[in-house]
Amino acid sequence: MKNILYYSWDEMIKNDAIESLVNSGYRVSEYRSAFDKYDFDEKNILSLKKKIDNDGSKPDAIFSFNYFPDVSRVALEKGIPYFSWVYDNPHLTLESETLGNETNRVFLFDSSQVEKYRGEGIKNIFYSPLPAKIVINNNPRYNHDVSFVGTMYDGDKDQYGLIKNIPDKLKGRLDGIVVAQHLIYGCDIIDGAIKGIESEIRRYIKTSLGEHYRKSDIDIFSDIMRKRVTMFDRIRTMHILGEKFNVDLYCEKDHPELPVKYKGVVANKDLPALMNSSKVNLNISLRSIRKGIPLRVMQILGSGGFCLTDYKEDMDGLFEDGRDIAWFNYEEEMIEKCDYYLKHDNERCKIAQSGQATAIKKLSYEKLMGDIFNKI
Amino acid sequence: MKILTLKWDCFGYNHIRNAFKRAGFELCEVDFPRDKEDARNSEALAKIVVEAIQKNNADAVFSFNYFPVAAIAAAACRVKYISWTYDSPYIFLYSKTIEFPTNYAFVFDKSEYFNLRQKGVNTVYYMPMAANTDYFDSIEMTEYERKKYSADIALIGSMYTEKRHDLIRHFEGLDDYTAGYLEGIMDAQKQIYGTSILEKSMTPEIIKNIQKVCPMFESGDGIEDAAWVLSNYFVARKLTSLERSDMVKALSDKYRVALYTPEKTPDLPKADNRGTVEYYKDFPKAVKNAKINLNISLRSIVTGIPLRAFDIMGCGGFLLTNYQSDFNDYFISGEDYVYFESKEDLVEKAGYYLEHDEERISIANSGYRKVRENHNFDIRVKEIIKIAGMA
Repeated sequence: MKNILYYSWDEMIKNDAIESLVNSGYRVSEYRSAFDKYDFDEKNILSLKKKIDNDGSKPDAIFSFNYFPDVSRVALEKGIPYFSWVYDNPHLTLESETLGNETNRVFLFDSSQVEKYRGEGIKNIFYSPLPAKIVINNNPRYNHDVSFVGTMYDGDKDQYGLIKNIPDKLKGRLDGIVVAQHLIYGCDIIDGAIKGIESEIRRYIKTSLGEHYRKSDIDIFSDIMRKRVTMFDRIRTMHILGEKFNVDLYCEKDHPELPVKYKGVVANKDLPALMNSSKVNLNISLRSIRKGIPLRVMQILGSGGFCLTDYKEDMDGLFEDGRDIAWFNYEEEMIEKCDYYLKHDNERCKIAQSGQATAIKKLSYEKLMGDIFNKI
Repeated sequence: MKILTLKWDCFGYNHIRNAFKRAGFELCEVDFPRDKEDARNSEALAKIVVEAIQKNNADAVFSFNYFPVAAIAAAACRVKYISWTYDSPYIFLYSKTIEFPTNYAFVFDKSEYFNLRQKGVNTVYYMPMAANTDYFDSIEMTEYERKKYSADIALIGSMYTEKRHDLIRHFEGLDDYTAGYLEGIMDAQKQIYGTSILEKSMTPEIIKNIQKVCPMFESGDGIEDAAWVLSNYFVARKLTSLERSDMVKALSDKYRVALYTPEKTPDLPKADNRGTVEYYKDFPKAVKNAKINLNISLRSIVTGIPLRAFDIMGCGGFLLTNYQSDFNDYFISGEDYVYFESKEDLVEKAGYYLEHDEERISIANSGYRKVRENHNFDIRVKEIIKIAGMA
C-alpha cells in the first residue's frame, strides 16, 4: 500500500498526520474538501471522483479524520478502502446508512462504541486509541499549578438548554436524571433511566437526522443530556479545585463566578507549551465517552505534561495509574491526588516522563497509522 | 458490671440480654414506652431512665435503636449508653445528643456510619446485625405448617403502598416540574445500587417547592436537614415501593411468588398474597419453607446488610437479594447467598436457582453456617464490649 488520498477538511491535526504518513514512506495526495452538506453533495462528490481518476496513480486507500458519508459512497463505487479515524464524540455521521459499506474501515477510540456497532452487525469497525503528538522539552518551566482546557458546554453551547415547549413534568424528569447522573461517577445511568419515557421524548423533542440515517433519535438526545451533565461536572470541578488550588481555565468564555483564573482560549499550536508548563493538567471527560481515552489525555502525555483525569476503562490497556498518569474514580480522590502531586514534584515529574515515554512507544502517529493501514 | 436494658418491642431483646448474661454481665431492665412518649424530647421519659439507672446502680445502659432521651439520661448519670440501631432511616441518630462522649452508637449500615463520621460525629461505630440460629433451629413445624408456608419464591415485608407509608401523598398540589424531577431522580437511582444520589439531588429550589405544599417542622436539636428527611423518608420509600412492585410483578409472571405483606396488592394479581406473618414464631416457618427468599432493600439502606438478610440466612433459607456492598465484608455471592443487579438479572437468577436444587441448598447451608459461627449475638457482644471499653 503506497498511495493515500488524504481527505482534509478543517481538522487541526492534519499536518501532524500527513507528516507522519510521509515519514512512514507513503505517497500522500491531499484532497481539500468543500461541501455544503454531508450527503449527496454533488459538487464535492464529482470533485473527489475527478481527483481519484486524474491523480496519476490510483490511490490504494482514502483516509479522513472523522467519518464522511459521501466519501464512503465514492470509495464504495470506486472499490477503494476508506479509512476513517474518528476523534469526535459524539459523531453524528456514524449513524449514516453508509456505515456498513464493505470498503469502509472505521476506527473509533471508545471501545464501547465499537462493541455497540459490532452488536448491530457492522463488521468494519475497529478500536484504535487516539494519537499523541510528541513534543519534547527537557527543561519545563512551570507557569501554572493546575490547568484545564475545555469547553464548558454552557451558554450557546448548551443544546439541552435550548429545549423549550415541553411539558413541565417531562422537563423536571429529564432535569432530575441529568442531576442524578452528574452525581454518579463511573457509571452511565441515562440509557436505563429514560427507557420509560422514550415515547414522550420522541413526541416533544425532534432530533432525527433525516432519511439517510438510522433511527437513533433517542441516542442523539441522550448524548445531548450527557453534554449537559458534562457542563455540571466541569463547573463543579472548577469550583471544588479552584477553592483549594490555583487553577487556570482555558475555555471559550469567561466565567467570573468560578474561583479560577480565566485565561481565554488557547490556540492548538500553543497547547504543548501550555501543558508542558503546567504542573497538573486536568482532563474531565465528556460523558458521552463511555470507555474511551479522550484526545485531551493524549495531547497532555504527548507534550510531557502530567495528566490528572477521570478514569475510563480503555486506560487499563495502555496506562498504569501512578506510573504514566494519575486517574480518579471519585471527587475526593481527585482532590487528594491534585493536592498530593502538586506537593510531590519529583514523583509528578517522573510520571509525566513515563507518560510521554508510553506515548512515544505506543501512541505516535506513525505507530497508530501504521496499525490502521494494516487492516486491509 | 450491671447493664440496664431499655425494654420495648424491638427485635432481639431477649437474644441480646442472654448474650450479655453469658458474657458475665448483671442485667436489669426498665419499660421504655417509646411509642407513647416522644423519645427525642420527653423529659418524663428521660426521668424514667434516670431513675432506673439510679435505682439499679447500673453501670451502663443498652437499647436497640438510639434514643436521645436515653442518651441524656445516661450522660446525666455519667454512665455509658450503648445503642445498636437496626432501623433505617433513623432520624434520631441526627439529634445533637449523639455527640455525648458517653455514647457508643452502633449502626448497621456502613454508609450511614461514614456519613455521620464525616459530619464530625465520633461516637458512632459500624456493627452489622446478627441472628440467633439456636432460636431459629428450635422452631418446630407441623406437617400442616410446612404445607401452609411452602412456596417457590417468598418475599416477606411491606410493599410500602399503605397510606401511612406513601408520604408522597402529602405532596398533593406539588408543581408539575418538581413532581417530574422527583420521578427523574428515582428513574436514575433505580439503575444503580451501592450509592445513593437521592439526598444530594435535593437542591434548595426543589426543597423550597416541596415545602410550599408540605411544610416540614424543624426539630431544632438536630443536624439532619430537609434534604435528608425528604430523600430518606419520602423518596427512598416511594422508590422501594415501586421497585418491590416491579420486581414481584416480573417474577410472578414466570414463577410462583408468595407475598407476606400487610397491604392488599391488586396490581399483582399473579402473586399469592398471604397477608402478614407474625415475626417471632411464624416468620421463620415462612422462610424455611420457601425455596428462595427475596430481599429487596429499603433504598434508605445504602450499603448495609438488612436485618431481614440475617434472619433469612440464620433460618437456613436461600437468600436472593439486591446488591448491597456491605455483604462483601463477610459473605461471598454464589457461595453463601446470591445477589442480583437488576430486575432482569433477578428473574434470570430466580429461574436458575429454582431449577438447581442442590446448588441452591448448598448455598443456603453455607450462608447458615457463616451466620451461625460469625454473626451471632455472642460475637457482637464481644465486639461491643471491646469498643465501648466495658471489660
